[in-house]
This record gives sequence, C-alpha cells and structure tokens, in this order.
Amino acid sequence: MRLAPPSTLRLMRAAADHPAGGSARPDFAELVKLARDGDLQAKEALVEALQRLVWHTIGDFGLSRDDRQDVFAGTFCRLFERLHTIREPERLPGWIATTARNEAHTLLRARGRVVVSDEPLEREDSEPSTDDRLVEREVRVALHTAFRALPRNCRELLRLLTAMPRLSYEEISELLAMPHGSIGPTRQRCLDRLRSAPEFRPFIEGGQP
Amino acid sequence: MTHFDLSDDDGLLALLSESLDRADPVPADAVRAAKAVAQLSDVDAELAELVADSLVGDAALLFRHDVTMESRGEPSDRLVTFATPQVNVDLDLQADGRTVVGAITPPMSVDVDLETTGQMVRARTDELGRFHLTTSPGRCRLRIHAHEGAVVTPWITR
Repeated sequence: MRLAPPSTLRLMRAAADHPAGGSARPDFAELVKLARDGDLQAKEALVEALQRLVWHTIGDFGLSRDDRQDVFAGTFCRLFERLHTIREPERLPGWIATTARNEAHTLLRARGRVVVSDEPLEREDSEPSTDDRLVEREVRVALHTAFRALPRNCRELLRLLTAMPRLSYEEISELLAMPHGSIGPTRQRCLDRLRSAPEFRPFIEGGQP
Repeated sequence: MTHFDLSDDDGLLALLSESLDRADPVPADAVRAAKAVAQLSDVDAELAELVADSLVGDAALLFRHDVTMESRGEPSDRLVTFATPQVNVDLDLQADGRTVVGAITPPMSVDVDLETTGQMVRARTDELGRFHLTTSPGRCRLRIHAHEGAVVTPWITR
C-alpha cells in the first residue's frame, strides 16, 4: 500500500488546526511589563510563549544538541537581562529571534570551531497503531527528510515562516537581511522545491486530483 | 475549515510546522533551564557593560558549515572587562572552562557570586579586590555585592 489521499487530507486539516496555524499572539507588552517588576510567572509565560520560536530559529546553525540547548537557555538569559532595554515589547518575537541568532554566532566564536551536527533529528513517533497513523508518520518523516535536504536559506526562511508566535514579513526581512519584496517569491520557490523533493513526490501525486 | 491539498502553500507550511515540531521538539530540559534562569533576579542590580574582550578580533571567527574542526589548537584563557560608573571588574575565564579569576577596582572586600544557569558559588574578595571561583562549565555571570548596590555582568558565553 502506498498512500491514501484521504489520510493525507485529514493530516493537512489536523496540521491547519495546529497552534502554528494561527492562534493570537500573547500580550507581550503586558508580560514584559510584569516581568520587569520581577514577576516570576510572567517570566515563565514568556519562556512558554517563545520557546518554539527560539528553538527553531537556531535549528540550522549546525550546532550539536548540547550547544543548541545552551544557546536556547542563553537566549532567555539575554532576554531577562535586557528586559529594561526592550523598547517595543509588542515586537518581542522579532527581538528574541535576532538575539537567538546572535547567541548562536557567539557560541561558535567562543568555541573557535564549527561543529557540524550529525546527530539524527528524527525522533521515533510512538505507537503508530493503525494504517492511518502509519501513513501520517510516513508523510511527516518524508516531509522532514525533504526539508533537511533543502538549501540552508530555504530552511531558515521556512522555519521562520512556520514560527510560533507568527513573525511578520517585516521581522523576517530584518532577521535574514532579505528584502521584504523577495520573501514571497523565495517562499514560493522553497515550497516548490520541497514539493518536488523525491521523498515527498509520491505523496503529492497521490494527493492531487 | 476548508479543504487543503498539497499544492496549497499555507497547507504545506502548516504540515511542515507540525512535522518540525514532532521531529525536532523543544527538549523539556531546555525549557527547565530557561525557567531556572527566570528565577535569578535581574531586578535591583546595575548591569555592567562589556568594555574589553580578548575574544573579539579572534581570527578563528569562521562560520563555515562545510567543514568539521574538532577543536582549535591550544585552548586559551579569555580576558574580559566590565564596567559601571562605580566599579570595574576584570575576569580571566580560564581555559578549563570552570575557573574564573578576577579583580574589582576600586579594590574592596565584598561578596561576589558567580552564577551559571544551574548553580551559584560565592567568594569574598581580598583587600585588593581579587577573587577566585570554580563552577560547572557553561555560560556564567558575576554579581558583585558592592557597598553602593549590587552590580551584575551580562551573561558570558564560555
């Protein structure tokens, strides 16, 4: 059995319901204000709200897993240390993504070396109990494999485009030093490349009318 | 919710987002470490500024992703200096990644805390403002309990 398009459709719908599909941004201005006064819960809420963005922002620097965790914690160190200097707290996602990238560069510099991670990123999903689940898992693994084969600029852009909380094109433009107007076309080109990846092709063909 | 097919860009991005989360989730350890950092106080301490760093200008500053280098030849100490209008602190971050030797000026005998993301160790400076501390490796910062008020350095990557 190869692929049942209905399962894929169901998966697409589930993914669209995923938080990254579009829940509202937390009230960063309020959280930052509370955190500045030392409110621990507000600080922890900032970690919760920004963890996924930070983790994925530093996903394509070739960091080992330990170094990536170190940079992750370091980014939040920087956030709490600089809380008083953040002028536009409502733009915190852009600020922290920039900070995370800088911290990754700093770590590489402090080590005086480049470590290319060859640790597998794949994690076995547990208990694929039905055929449907098996198909879902196959689609996800194929998609992730295809993603990892993309050029770095595509991976960086797509990670930021799937970031949670959402980043605006303006924020992404600043982060990647990419003109605002070229984000749309580059996104298109990268998604097309993803679609045409050999790993993913059977799913596409199966899924199209 | 309308139908998606794989030729739909937004649908594909949503699927990619889910796929990345499953294949590459944020480790619980990392979140715990970040929350531990949140508990360290940043209020009521003046943030010192970095004024010198032996690492800056390092010729080994390379971001090549096509090579693997196991290590640079000789690990060396890193010297950094921080300042506020009231106090200066020189730190020698030793190559073992654990030992920090330093001195504050003007010289005074006060408590200094070396904080890492998971640990804090305290020392008393001598009459010349010198101190010697050992911690677990990883990023750290120094808190100086100066007479005029606490001073804290930015987090240092080592």
